[in-house]
Amino acid sequence: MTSTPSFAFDLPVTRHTLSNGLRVLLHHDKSSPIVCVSVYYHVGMRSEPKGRTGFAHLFEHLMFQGSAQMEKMELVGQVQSVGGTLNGSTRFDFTNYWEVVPSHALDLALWMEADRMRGPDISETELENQRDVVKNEIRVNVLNRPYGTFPWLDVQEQAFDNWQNSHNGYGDMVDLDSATLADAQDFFDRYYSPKNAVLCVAGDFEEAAAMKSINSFFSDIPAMNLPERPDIAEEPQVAERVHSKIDPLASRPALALAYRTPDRGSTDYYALGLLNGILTVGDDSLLRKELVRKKGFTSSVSGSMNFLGHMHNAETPLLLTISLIHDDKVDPDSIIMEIDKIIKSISSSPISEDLLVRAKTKVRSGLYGLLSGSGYPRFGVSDLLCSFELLEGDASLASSIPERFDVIEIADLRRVAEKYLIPSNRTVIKLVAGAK
Amino acid sequence: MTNDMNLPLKPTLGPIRPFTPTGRKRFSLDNGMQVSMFELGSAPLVYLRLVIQAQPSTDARLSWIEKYVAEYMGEGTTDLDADLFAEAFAAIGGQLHISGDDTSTNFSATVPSEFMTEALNLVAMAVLKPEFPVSEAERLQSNLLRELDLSKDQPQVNAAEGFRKALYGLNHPFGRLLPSRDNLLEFTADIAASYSKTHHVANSAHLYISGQFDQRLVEEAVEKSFRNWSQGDSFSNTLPAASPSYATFLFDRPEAEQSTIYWGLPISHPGATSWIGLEVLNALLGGSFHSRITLNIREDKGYTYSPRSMMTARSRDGIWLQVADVTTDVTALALGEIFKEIMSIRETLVTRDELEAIKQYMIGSFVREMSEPGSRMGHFMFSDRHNLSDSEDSLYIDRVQAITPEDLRMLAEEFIDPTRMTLSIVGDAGKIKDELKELQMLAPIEIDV
Repeated sequence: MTSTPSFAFDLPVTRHTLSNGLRVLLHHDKSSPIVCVSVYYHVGMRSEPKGRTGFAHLFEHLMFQGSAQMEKMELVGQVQSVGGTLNGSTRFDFTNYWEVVPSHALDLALWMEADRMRGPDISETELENQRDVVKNEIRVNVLNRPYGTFPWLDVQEQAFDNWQNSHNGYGDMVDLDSATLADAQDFFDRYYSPKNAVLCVAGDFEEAAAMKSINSFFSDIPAMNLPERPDIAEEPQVAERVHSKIDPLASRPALALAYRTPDRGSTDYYALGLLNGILTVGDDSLLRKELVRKKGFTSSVSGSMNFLGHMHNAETPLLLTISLIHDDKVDPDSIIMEIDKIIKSISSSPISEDLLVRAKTKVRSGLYGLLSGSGYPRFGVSDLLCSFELLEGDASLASSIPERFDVIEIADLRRVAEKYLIPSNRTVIKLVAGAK
Repeated sequence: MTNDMNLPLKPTLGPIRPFTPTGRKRFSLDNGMQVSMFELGSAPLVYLRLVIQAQPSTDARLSWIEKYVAEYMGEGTTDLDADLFAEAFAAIGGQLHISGDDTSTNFSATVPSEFMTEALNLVAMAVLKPEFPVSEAERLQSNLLRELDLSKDQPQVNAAEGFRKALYGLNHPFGRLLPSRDNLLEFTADIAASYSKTHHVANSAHLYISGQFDQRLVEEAVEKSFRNWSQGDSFSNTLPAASPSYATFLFDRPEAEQSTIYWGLPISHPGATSWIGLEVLNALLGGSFHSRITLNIREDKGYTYSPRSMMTARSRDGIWLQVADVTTDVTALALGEIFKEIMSIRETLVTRDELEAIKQYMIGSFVREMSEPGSRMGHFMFSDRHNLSDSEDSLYIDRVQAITPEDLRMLAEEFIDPTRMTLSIVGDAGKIKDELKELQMLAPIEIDV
């Protein structure tokens, strides 16, 4: 019998909490003289109110538009002028801001984040400007792009009944046009307090000096009461949902199957993660073998448990979505039939030990890919640590991800496939190619 | 919206830590294969990239042949069929990515360090013993046809296609971004196998290894895996460089909400004395978030979300290019602002402060690039493709520091000349054509060429 390889996955972290509730995470990596400062606020697309779709994302843009000590875009200019880079992003459950700078500029990055945690300083002009920028972001990524909503916005809209989960977090143009400065003030007051945030410093720095600066810059920001978390619970799904749509910009049809996931942290959740690996990740995945290589229906099959990240940095409910672009000559129902056959092969009889070990090896190896930070050194590790601190209350749990997969047995995979990868737990999106 | 709280004064920075990029160890096998390796990174992984350079064919019928061959190389070897090969790679926590573009075929894989030897064996197997099963030819052709259709749907691809055509012409391999359907239908297993036999030779290959590994073990494993790879004809690049073309091409995309702009021209090439200065100029003009064009058309006017200028380098030339997807009704205004920023940098000296800030940005970007295994590997690949010596790396920071405001103005004047630029634009012609015609700086518009 083969066994899972033993290569380690360890993300040492020191945790502190300031008197105002701000949680601080410190992670050392001295391999290069750079440091990543990130701030995660526990507010995301799922927190925004009806009539204000896209507001969490619009507000993220506003956080770059100036604060008490910094003019509009000064933060960006400062980071660049010390040789750094930065970004921010809005996810389902949190909004994050980060800078990667040479180590000597750590204090500057901390100071700037402390300044904007005290509040953006913006006028109607900046709001108007960023409304235009965000609308252009939606045009380039969604409206003027074939498959722009497929499958990420389509599946959540059709598969969820709770508005907090199903609405378009990028925002409807009408809602974006309705957003006001008063909304921004209210949103900031409610969500952008130290108690609702996590600050992470990762890279090459001295711990005592960093904590001294963090205390000096952040500790007098008043503690506020934690905002109420949005209710994101879903009623159980009882029947298959099938939705067809025409994409006027697409020249080939596409298909997505979205299965509701079990709860984050549960054994079933990690079993489903392994099933996703077995079915869709890599050249050895079962659906690639069948649909790409054997049947030639498509060039590739994608699998995702979180279109805005991965299975470790979002709250559930999520969707395991299998998607592909295919040809006109193939009936989507025949593709679904083949997918069901493959899933049936897992749920009706035990998979081989080899396949399980391979899936665990892929997962463990893939975890390192998450750390690479795609162009932002030390950001990947910060993201995992902040996500676990926000979503599970303890950043150090990020190091336990491999063990959570390791305990999964063949019988678990069979049981979870039988329970979750079934038609009555899924939403099917059939995209019809509408391009001339 | 700000709270009245005491934030201490903005901290003054201490001195930047000196950064000297460490080099790589290089060696070659008797068959001519080059090997570069350097240890870097905190994860117990090893990163492998094998690059096989080839002279792109000028025969239009072979456009995308490199892609076809790369796809085919994933269809198994004479030792292991495709499924068994994929399973073997997955069992060591990785998979082999094979891609082909018009100058090279690339194999890449990342695996836990403990599987370095197995991974090298499998990469070598894929390169040295590809099977090219005839049974898969038609399916792989269908994949390319699908990819062609999906590419044509993208306005950015349409704009890039027009831009390349103008700079290189249709008789040049770089001038043809997309092939014709008919030519793809001519590809066969024999053609793919013959291409591989001719071009995938040891003396055109360079293997890059990074991550955490034992150098001695790597050297042994490389020797063992690749020593039987045969040599072939070497090639020298004889393709003509891009030439400027003062032209405006408009591609109609009815009802498009945005116009997709590709606007640029050939400049110098990597290794030329002007190149690093042009990189600084590019970052200042449109190549960074705090650049002039971005601050103007995004942060001031809100015309667009992701404008950026860039420099690309192929075999013996370089191109400067500004791209942006702008709201349809401000298309001419956006072009006017980009033009203004180009003219301003040609006519007026930048301030020392602005220059100093962008220099620091360039130096910091260099440090970041050298701080991750993948990006530093990419850096070395770029150097090798353009025959740059590694000693350039230790001089880079000083060279950036030496740039003066007058240097930038002169570079802009010499290289970023709007009267030599090609504009390739994809948008709703009915809505934007008339206002484009009124822009004095543009060449006469050719529609849907």
